[in-house]
Amino acid sequence: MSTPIQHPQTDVVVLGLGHMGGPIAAELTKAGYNVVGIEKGPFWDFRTDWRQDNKDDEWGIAVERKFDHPLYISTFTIRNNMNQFALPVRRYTKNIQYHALGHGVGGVGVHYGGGLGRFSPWSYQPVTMTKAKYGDAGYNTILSNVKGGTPDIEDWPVTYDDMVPYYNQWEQAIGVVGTNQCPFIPNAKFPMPPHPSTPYAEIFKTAVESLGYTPFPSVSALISGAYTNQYGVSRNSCVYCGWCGGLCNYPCEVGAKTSSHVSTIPYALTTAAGKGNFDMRLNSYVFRINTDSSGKATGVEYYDSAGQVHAQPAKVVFNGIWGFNLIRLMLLSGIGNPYDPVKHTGSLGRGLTEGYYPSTSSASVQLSVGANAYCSGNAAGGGYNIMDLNEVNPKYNHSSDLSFMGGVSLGFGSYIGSGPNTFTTQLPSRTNFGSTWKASLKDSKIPAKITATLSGTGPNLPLLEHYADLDPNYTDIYGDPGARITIDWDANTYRVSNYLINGSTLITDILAKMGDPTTIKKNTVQELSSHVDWWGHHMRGGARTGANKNTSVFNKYMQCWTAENVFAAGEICDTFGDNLTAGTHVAGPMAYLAAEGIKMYLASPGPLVS
Amino acid sequence: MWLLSYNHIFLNQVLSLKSIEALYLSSSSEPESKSRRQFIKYGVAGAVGFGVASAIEIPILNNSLQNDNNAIKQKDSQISSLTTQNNTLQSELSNSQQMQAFLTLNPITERPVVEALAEAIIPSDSSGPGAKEAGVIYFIDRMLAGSYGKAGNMFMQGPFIHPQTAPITVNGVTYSGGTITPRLQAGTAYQYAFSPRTFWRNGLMSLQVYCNSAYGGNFENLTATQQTTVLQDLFDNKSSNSNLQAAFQAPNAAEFFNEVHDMVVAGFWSDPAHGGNQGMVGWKLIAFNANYWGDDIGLGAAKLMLQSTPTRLSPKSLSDLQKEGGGM
Repeated sequence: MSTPIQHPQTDVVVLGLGHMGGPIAAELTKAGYNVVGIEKGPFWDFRTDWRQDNKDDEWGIAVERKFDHPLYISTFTIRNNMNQFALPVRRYTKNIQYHALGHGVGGVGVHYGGGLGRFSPWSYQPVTMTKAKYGDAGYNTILSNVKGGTPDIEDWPVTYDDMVPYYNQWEQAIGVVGTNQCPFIPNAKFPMPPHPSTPYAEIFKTAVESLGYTPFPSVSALISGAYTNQYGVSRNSCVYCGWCGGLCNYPCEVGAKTSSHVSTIPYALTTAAGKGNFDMRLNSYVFRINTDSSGKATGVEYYDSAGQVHAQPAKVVFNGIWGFNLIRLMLLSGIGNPYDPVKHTGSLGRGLTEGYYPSTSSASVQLSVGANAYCSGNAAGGGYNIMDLNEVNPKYNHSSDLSFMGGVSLGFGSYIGSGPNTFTTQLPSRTNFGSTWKASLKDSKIPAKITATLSGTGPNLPLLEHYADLDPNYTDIYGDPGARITIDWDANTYRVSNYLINGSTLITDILAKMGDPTTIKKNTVQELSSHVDWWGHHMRGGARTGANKNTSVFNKYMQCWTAENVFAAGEICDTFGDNLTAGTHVAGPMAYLAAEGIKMYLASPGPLVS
Repeated sequence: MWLLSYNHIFLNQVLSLKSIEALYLSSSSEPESKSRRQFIKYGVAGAVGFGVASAIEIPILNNSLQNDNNAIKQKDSQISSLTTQNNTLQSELSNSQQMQAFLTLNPITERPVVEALAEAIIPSDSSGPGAKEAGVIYFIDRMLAGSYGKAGNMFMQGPFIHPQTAPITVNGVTYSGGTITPRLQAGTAYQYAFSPRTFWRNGLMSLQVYCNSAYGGNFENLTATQQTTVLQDLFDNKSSNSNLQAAFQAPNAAEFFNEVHDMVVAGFWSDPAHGGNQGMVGWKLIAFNANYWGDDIGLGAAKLMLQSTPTRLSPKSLSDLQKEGGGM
């Protein structure tokens, strides 16, 4: 290894300039601190890199992944249990989405769908609030019914009310769209109005209102008008082109879909850089956080694009790398206590859950209206949600069936906007070829009458058997071990959907109000009928924030228990994930909380929680 | 067995390059041959004018002059209409013929079978042009010659452990549970040390071995019904199908069918810039129109997705957008 190029010490070094790193860079430079941002990929300029004649390319983006993480640099390995050899993900394929990592400023936010929504108070306190609802005995019954492993559930160290100010800062920064009339997620004031609703969304809205529920417009990160955030960064409105990607593939050519590259980093690059306190290092791959004898971080080492090693000393290291790579870098650097899956001790890697979910039971009905399934990405909105069928609603009570916990954020009516999606979902089968199949595809995306399908998906529970560690067989391109995940579906999410579809009439009552009841069809999926064979974008836990330093990695200020000047944020730090929304919206406030923690630490170094 | 293929591919080249008359003469000289059938299929699908002309035959004219005149007028009218149609099709054909050179597919052992596979999966028929008119074979050829074929964006570090349920020992560690059983579409399913180009080379060879042992000929020379059965055999990948298991090792039959289906489908619906979907025939079938912004179609922003009766719009390609200056 060559002698590292030594850089002068900075106040904060930010690893990864995506959804998490952006707010840290903006907030700390705004506060006058010197910040160095290190990003694995390039800076994409949406005006040129993603101009329509370069971007409207389904093959290039959805399959070749020309704006995403190249797998030859690093990948992950996957197994369902400790007795298996973990297989590496070797390529992106067209049919299974949600598994490309970000590469460049903006991170995964470059190509995510942009569908947002706050966690409910229950999602922050699943233990306390479930016990309050069903009693200690009821909660224990739920735990005893868990299938697939031993539950390892904890409350977050913060409550929903604690997080409201940080939600507000984050939503203002990225320009969240919606009108939160949901009674169960209070004090939400989104800065942008919702997108226009679709005819079929209005059908859903009328149906659920007649049943006494409270629908609210779906929440989105695609802005509905011209917008300027608290940093003075201005952006264009969504143009409803359809290429933002219901399948989370496409960057936005007008800058309407938010990540750090159009909201926070531009501030750091202009205002802050004008003061000389922001330095961005692109195409640079961090491979170690260095520590001193006390365990505190001294800075980081990284490779530049020529393979030259650089050393960047810093007073604070913020780890804003995506998912397992956040865990992996800490394991490689000897920071934190690695989880032991046999003795169930240690915390780093523990509590891993998948925010996505398997195919679960559903029911459908035919509506009287048609739709164009190509136009606009579904993440823009246009639909309505209800939280009435969620554990947070006192009236949603399944004490007759305590085999599961959690409920659904039921949504319908968003722009179908499957992205262009002209080929990605056409799977081979015994019959999916030839003239009959071909004829069935003709105009199938512009149906005269659409079918409304509703399904329920509860949370995947953290289990002692599921974790992340270093893989013993595969390395990244530089020779460091890659990350391995040991994870599978548990029964919980299947049971939530089964309760909603078959164990009650909660879903079919809605469908009967939406369309012709004689056309209602149920599709029942047996629990544990499929296994995880890929990774999703919304991996959660694994590097949890918590009140118990034996089972969590970070305290409530996102400060590492074992290295006081290492902070982090991301979905992977969730104490309890809940798949009632994509977890991006939940991670953003965590970054603002971490920014406050870092400011407190720099003003007065030491543990922020004893 | 390659002699048959050679004859076939020669005629195919003629089909692609020569005039309509030459096509007719060459194919009519062997009316029952495979190439004759293909010519008719190609013609009826509308890419070649002469094929369409068969639709205007008027079987019986009676002795009445008036009827004759009416019939002639009617025929003239039909010819006029078909001439216009033919000119359009010729123009499209001319555009599609801009990409004739192959980069990697072997002219004898691979092009005929890949072309036949593509046509079996997406035929030219009454619902419109298929894989042939879309030039799917050119898409597959270009992709196999490029990043896709060379595993350009793949993680290709060993060990290469094929998915299995049996216990396995790797680097001195025994895993009693084998591996996960990934779906064929998952990124964990491909665990070969070789590139997708070799995957295709092996798979195509295995396919011909199977077609010859089970059906007595190369895939491209089987009847349409036989081809359908072969594709289902590949999908089923039954362990009891001894001919199939003997023919396919790496990739196995199901993996190969999945890959072929993926690429044919992608070639039919990807942007024409990648070599397939020529004349945007794939997009025209499914009324793809997403690169029209809400404003562009004169409905005002946000209006298109608010329609409850969807309208059929025509698509734009990257090339169209570039001609317009980037579409911005």
